[in-house]
Amino acid sequence: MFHSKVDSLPFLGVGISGEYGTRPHIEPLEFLQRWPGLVHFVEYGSDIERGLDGRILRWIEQGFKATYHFLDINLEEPEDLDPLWLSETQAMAEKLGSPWICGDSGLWHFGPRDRGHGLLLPPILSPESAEYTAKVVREIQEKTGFLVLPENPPSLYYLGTMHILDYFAKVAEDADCGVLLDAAHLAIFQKARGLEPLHGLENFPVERIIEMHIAGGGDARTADGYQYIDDDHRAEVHEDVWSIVEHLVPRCKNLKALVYECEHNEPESTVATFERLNKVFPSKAGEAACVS
Amino acid sequence: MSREGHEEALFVDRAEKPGTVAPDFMILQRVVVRMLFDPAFVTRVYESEGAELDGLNLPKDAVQQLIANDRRLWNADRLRRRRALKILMEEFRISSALVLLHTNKLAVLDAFFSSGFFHESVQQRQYMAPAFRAYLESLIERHALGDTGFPEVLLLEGGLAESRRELKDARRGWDRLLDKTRGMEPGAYFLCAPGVMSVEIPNNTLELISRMEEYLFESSLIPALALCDDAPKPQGIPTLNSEARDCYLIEGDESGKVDFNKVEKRFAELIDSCRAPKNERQLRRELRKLDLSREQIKQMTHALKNAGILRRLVIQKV
Repeated sequence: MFHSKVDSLPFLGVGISGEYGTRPHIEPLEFLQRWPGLVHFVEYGSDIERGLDGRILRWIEQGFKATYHFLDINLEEPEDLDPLWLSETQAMAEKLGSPWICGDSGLWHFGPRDRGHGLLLPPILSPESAEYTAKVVREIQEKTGFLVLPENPPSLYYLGTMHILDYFAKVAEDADCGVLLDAAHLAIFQKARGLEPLHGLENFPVERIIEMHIAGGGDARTADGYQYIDDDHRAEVHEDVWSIVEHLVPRCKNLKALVYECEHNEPESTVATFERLNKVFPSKAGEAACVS
Repeated sequence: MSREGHEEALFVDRAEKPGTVAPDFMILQRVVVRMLFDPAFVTRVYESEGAELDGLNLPKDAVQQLIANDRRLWNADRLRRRRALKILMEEFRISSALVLLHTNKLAVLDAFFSSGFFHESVQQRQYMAPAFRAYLESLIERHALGDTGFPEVLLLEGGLAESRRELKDARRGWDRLLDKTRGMEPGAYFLCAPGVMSVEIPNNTLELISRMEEYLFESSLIPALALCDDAPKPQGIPTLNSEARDCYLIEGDESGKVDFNKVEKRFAELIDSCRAPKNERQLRRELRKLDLSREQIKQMTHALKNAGILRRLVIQKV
């Protein structure tokens, strides 16, 4: 699937995240009017329960590009994959004109998909879990025809003996899929394991990376004094995250999309990062993101 | 709805059944979920150095890695239980409010997440709502709620919750009622549509629900009421009739929305009996209990099918 699809995937450039029903501070259409050329597509996150909202439909109706990010399938759990999810997810991705389907790997809910069951757990980093995940990814690709990009998720802890990059390399190889590498989540993992930001990238099949995410985050502390990095998508991006992005972008020959997850910030606070991202990952001539 | 045999439904049925052995990593994921919801469980796991999990047969190194984490991280999201309880209370709106009315303690409901009902449902990959229903049922005796109207309201709200999930599972490809056709002889059968069931409750249960709804609406106008000693309590809550009872048909539509309507007792009994497959002769026998003529039985069968209450299945030799 990967090699037959990768050359025909469109180049999207720098995008912004959006999610069903949330009222972001950054409205992409308004942002584009004030700062033309900085945002080239929207990555829309939703689930089959909520579907597509008016905001994203207006965006695509005006001829802009979008990608679909699922928030409701446990890639690690074959029981979670059912015909309804497949057909409705495929329909949403087609409606958006998304060139692929992406989303965090692990668990989006415990038990069957239901209200109140939602959470986001990273996969257990073991070869067996990677095999299960690859099986599910492969099945989604076969049934929907979309290339799937599993994403490395954030967490306060990681269980299993594998490095997260080795885990996703195995998933990509076994499933013959692409990868969405979230630089902020990777920085959190490296810090949790006491490793340097770029550790493990030397052996990672970077040609599988089709999309990257970048986001802000920072120190947080619970009432009982536990300190952790909160992946809260604040505007300011940590230097470790920049070092991963700036190391990888020139090396990822198949990178098509770079999403800045920042829609809940004041627009002004994100402009400098968008400008820097557009320098790091410039749009290619003849591949304008806006088709209108 | 007519199904050519039941093989299609069985083919897509991959939901984990009780007794299915999950891989070690998934057993561990479920332990993580339980720890995220239950600080008391976290304490037991850490203080027993993992022995609390012995029954799950997890690899020792996996358990050691689990408890090598700072135990405070499991409670970093301190509103996790509250959010989940809010959603459960939306579905069991009146029964959970009645628990609070008669016990005056949120802790009674919150304790669900430390109960075996919750832990078992997570570890067995089941829905949380039926586990919450079972937990609420367990409160009837423990908190002497038998004469409060709570059990009857719970019967109705629990039926609606069950119907929703039966419909949801059927839309996903697991039609639970079809499980009852396994091993049956080839032939034509009639069976309730997913989510169709009946409940029988005292005839003034809806009045009790209505009073409680009024109270919940009024108290929602001022959330800070919880801080007041003189916060109003529900008024005019009726005592339920033990003698006069009504039956309700619970059914859902294609979008998954569930509703209920009053029906005759004999009709409710027919519905209950068709929760298991009936062949044509058995169905006719059930319909005769409604004092219907042969022609009326034919019409009724047709009407029940058209209304989406019953479906006809044809089980073929495979």
